[in-house]
Amino acid sequence: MMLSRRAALLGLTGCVGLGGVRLAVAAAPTDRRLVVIILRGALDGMAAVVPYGDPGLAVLRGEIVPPGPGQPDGVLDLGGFYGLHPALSGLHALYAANQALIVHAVAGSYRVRSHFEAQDYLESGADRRMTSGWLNRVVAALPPSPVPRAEGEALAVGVSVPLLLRGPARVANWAPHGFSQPAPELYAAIAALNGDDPVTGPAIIRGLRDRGFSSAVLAGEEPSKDRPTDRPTDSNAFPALALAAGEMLRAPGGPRIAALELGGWDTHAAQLRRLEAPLQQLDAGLQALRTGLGPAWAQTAVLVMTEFGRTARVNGTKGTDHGTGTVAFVLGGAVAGGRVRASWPGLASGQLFEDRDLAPATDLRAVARGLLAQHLGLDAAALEQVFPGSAGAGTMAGLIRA
Amino acid sequence: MALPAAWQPNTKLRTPLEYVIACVRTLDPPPDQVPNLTAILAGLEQPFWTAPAPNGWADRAVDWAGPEAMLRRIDWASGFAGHAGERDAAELCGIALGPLLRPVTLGAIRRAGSRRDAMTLLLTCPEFQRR
Repeated sequence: MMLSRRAALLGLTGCVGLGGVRLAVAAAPTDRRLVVIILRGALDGMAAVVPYGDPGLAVLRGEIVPPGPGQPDGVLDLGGFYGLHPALSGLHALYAANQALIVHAVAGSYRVRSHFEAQDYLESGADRRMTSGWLNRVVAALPPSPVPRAEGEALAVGVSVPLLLRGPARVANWAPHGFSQPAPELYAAIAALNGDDPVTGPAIIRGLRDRGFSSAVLAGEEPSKDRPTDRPTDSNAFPALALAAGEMLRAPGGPRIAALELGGWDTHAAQLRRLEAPLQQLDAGLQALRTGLGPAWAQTAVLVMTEFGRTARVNGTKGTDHGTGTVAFVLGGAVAGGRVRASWPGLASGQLFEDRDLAPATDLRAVARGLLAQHLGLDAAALEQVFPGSAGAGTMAGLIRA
Repeated sequence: MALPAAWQPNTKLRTPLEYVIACVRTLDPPPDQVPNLTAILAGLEQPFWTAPAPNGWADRAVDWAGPEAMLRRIDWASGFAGHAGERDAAELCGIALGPLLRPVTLGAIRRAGSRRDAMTLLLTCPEFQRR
């Protein structure tokens, strides 16, 4: 075991921290800020943005659909057809302030159902795994910085740089101190794997109970609102990382491009309950990001994306399985929001993709291309470098305030 | 040494030092991503070069498998698993565990929601906790 002298001097705090969330920041020569948030594990788009106006919804998944708008714990209305999950109240306020745009029935260009492959392709910006991520190629495509940037061209906050931000543009690392905590469902999976072990099994169960996880929470039968990782003081929780990212992006001469990630979306069972905690984390993180950015929020656009959606029908364990069409969020002070952009494909029989998924009606690359063109001024040649072979995907117009 | 159990693999629980080294060897990260072992071992209650006198570090599983101690291992491992990069835990688990790998562990690793979660499951399964 060798520690390099440089690593020893730097202390490598980043290697100790981080849980279900990681954050990477890159310096870009523009006053505009771009933040990309990866939701790992496949967010169910129809759970986050519920198309309650489609009569097919109740037929396919009635038992996991939250109540309609105006009812207790009901969805937050987005104009008569779609409703936001009640845990996304902060996002709903941004929507009401015309600072959040929702793109529904969106999917990447790839059609795979493996998390690992799909996340690789989502971050590569292609339907194959590349050695660099599309956000790193965005940094490379921007003109050289007119001011020296103390942190270099790029900075990753987290134990490692996600593929999204890996590539020729240099990326440094930062992470908060302390051990992180994984999402409750990962704790539950670990406890289950250790269940038969006479030593580690009981110790892990006891430890989780001591930390406030009941067996019902771990089984997904009860919401985990009071779980320790929801504490805003947890320096490794998503809202804390988002706040730190916002403050770094706000600083003059600081980075202008950042990437964060948040896990816990792979809801194969007890989806209604299990989605509450990660949605709360996401919502709190978006608010924290805005707080951290302060006045720079007005020049900021945030893209929230996931590798694919989930099956339209509820499965036998009140969850959903790997699907295709889902949602993407574009939000920030620079965004022309207050709308749901979708060519709604419908949920009737014959309208589902492969008779199981929300059909992909919009290419996620078209959303990203529109954002990069309108927000960062990338031209067609640069967009082709960022998303190889994507000219036919189109470029969504009207994402950024004129 | 005459006891057959002394030669059986997967019998003794790994101490924090043994566990952290096994994790680092399994992921084999580039030199600049090798973590600060001193800080980690302090966090896992086995600070480096400070074995208690006169008995030294405990040799029984029960002394290392306290509830909070096990969770701290898990917490650290889930952070360290962020170095997984493109490494596939489903391939690595065969190398790391060989015949000790249980089908249930391999299945859980294959079903994980991300490469990092898959690596976390490999580093926290009971067969990896032992030597």
